[in-house]
Amino acid sequence: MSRSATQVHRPGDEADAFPRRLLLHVGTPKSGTSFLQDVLFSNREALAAHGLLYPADRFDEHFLAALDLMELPWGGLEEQAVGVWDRVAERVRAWPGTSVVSHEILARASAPQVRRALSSFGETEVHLVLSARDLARQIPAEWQENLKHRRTLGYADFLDRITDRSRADDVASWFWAVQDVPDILQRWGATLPAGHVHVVTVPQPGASPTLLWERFAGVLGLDPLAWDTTQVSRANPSLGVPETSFLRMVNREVNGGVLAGRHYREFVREVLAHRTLSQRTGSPRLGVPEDVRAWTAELAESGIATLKERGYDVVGDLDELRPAPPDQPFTDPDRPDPGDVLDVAVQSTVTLICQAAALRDRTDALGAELRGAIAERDQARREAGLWTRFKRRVVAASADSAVLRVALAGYRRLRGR
Amino acid sequence: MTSTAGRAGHTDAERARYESTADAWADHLRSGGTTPWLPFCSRRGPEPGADDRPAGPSRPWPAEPRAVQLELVRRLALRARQSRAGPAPAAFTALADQVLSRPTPGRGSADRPLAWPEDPSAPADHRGAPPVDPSTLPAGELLRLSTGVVADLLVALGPPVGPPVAPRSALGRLAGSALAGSGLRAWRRRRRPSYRVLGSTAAAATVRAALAGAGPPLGGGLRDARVLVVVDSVDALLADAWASRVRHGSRTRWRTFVGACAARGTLPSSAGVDDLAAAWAARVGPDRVHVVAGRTPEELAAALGLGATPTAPRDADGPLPPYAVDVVRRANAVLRLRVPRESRPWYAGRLTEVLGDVPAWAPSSPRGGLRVPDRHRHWAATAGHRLARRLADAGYPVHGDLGVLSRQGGGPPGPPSRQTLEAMLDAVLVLGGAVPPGRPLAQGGRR
Repeated sequence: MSRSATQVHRPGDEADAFPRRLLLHVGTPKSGTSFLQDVLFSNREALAAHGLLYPADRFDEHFLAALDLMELPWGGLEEQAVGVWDRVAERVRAWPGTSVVSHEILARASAPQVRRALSSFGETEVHLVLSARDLARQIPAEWQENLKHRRTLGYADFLDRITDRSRADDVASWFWAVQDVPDILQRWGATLPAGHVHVVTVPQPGASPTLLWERFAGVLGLDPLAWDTTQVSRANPSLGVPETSFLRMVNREVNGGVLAGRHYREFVREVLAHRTLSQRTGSPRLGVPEDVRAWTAELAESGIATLKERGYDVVGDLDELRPAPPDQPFTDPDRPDPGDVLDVAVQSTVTLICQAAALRDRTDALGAELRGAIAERDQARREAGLWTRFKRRVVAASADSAVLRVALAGYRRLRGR
Repeated sequence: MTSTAGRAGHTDAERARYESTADAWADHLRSGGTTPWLPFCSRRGPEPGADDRPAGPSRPWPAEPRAVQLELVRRLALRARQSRAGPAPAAFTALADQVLSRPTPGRGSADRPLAWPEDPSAPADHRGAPPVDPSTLPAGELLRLSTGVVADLLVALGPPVGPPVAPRSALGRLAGSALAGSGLRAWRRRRRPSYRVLGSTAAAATVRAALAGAGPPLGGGLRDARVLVVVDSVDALLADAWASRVRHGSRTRWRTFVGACAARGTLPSSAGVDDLAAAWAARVGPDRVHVVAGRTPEELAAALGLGATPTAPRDADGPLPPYAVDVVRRANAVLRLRVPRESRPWYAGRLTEVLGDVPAWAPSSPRGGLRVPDRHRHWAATAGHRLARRLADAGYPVHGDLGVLSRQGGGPPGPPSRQTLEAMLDAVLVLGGAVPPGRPLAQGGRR
């Protein structure tokens, strides 16, 4: 049975009754974290009025804080992350109530990084929150996420790496660092009381679409109906089999210095993947082969037993961490239907042509503005007096004449400049 | 696919012994010891006593230093022993404690615990990254951690005083170095023919050394100067440009840099030896701009009519080897998260100075530069042909074969990780004060 992690401090309440608390939500990726962060960011002012601080002035502030904490390069974005963790921690320490910090890549933090993170909050009472989904759904989602970050490895290759118990490979190492729920809770929760560790399970398909939000709201101590979740715009929908295969082909062609990171983020990840390909819902969905499903079921049993043994607060039902039976046969994304992929390619080409046309229109408009500004400037110069024009000519000529430069310097000294 | 079934977990007694042994090993390493983990466990004996932990103050490192932190300390100790002066004990211990407390930055494997001596495989109840024999950790993981340590040590030097001075481009520095230290000599010798040597860094260093040994002054006034534009393969020109960007704070890998140039279809502007020659031709006249391509110092001296025997270049005169440049590149990647953008060239320059002053180069270390990766070979050869044609069409006197521009460089397609790690260890030791700076002699090393 879940219990609220906090009572929210309201203006006018006795401060002593509500110690400073932090709800530190550290993952896992692909478990509704983006949705929760969007709700919190969109409603941050109203939440603060109710005593709950979401310390972020930009929607990706906690992401930057995580990059700062873990010294992670991220396609150039890390330049904006210098000092962000300490700034967020400072706001948490200064807030006389409950704060929420949330980003899913925090799951990856190593033990020394966790130590630094927890100590940065001073005397604040830390509650750890981890949202978790069954591995049979996490595995294809993580592979897809790899591809959205420019990787080109095939699905079978990905499965081989993550099922290798050595976890020596970079891909496997990252996957398990952010998806091994008992390990994440051990790293982050080793110094916290079990009652301060809250595991939120993601409902299985077919459950009420508001159930996950209700569970998160329960942990935050909020009435789920009182907060607007309809304005959430930053969705992270999944791609189908041919769409994912197409994305992998694109990556092969644009990597190796062909397409700079900022262009990849805008055109491939945003325009193609998020806004175009994810809207195609009729194609086969990504799943796992039957032998992998059986293996995830074994891991789930072991993980559930460990979580029960440790006595954490469970918000939801640990049974939801067991993989559900598949609702469609497995379709191998390494051997997609060529016709399906062609269809994806045609739609993608049209989308990018339209995008290029829109950018051309914008460039043309900017060009017209610039030409107008230049014409105005030239007109102003023509209307300027003879003395002004003479001075401009002298300044221009001084670039090639030491005598003029000396004379000009003397003139400026006389004018007190 | 492996099952989760396996042997049962460790007993409390086994865990206590494991932790006690790990602490003792950490202490051994901090004192400059170099015994690897598994032999250390074997030598320590079967059943240490309950109070077998090292005496003295409580350990200054975190509860569970992972295999990579411990192994890096061991490699530093090994490397420090190769310094002629040997490691400074107190400074080494302080540096070791810093390493043991340092999280590994960036992407890569999760930090792994030490392998259990009796059975390196992880038990069924093990969670997280599996244990490892630290001596088997790949160089990449040790590089990742040591890069973080180097960044910490550089930041601890403090921010630069005054506005940062951005390093000039490779060719710009070479153009300037033609005058460096020669102002007074140039004044006295202004009526004697003099040479300015510009162009590909490594090749120009060879030529400059040859001329210095053969007699004619370097630098001097423009009136009598002859300009030698030394060209090498496009691979070498690209390597110079990459190294220059790294010195300005870039973290771009060599392969990505070449790939970006190939995708654009153009060489970076700093590799434009044709433009360099044209600029000097406009100042001194095309008849006094000579192009040198692939000539030995003796051949060049003969071609220029110099009587004396040229001198062989010292290692100290050459550019940093590519694996040392890669050390700076890696540090740049971490420093992006630590220092303001405008300070990065200063930190990169400081690290370059340190690396230029350590005896990292064993006789077997490759002295050559990098070559363009095979997938871009055709583009590089075409760019080389184009440069050669422009230089030939301009009519400069040419000493040697302009075909060198389109030939494949002889080095590896990327900085070799073993040598990069050695250079990184040296940087850690010098910056951490564990070995003295300067150029202590080492086996087969630099002067």
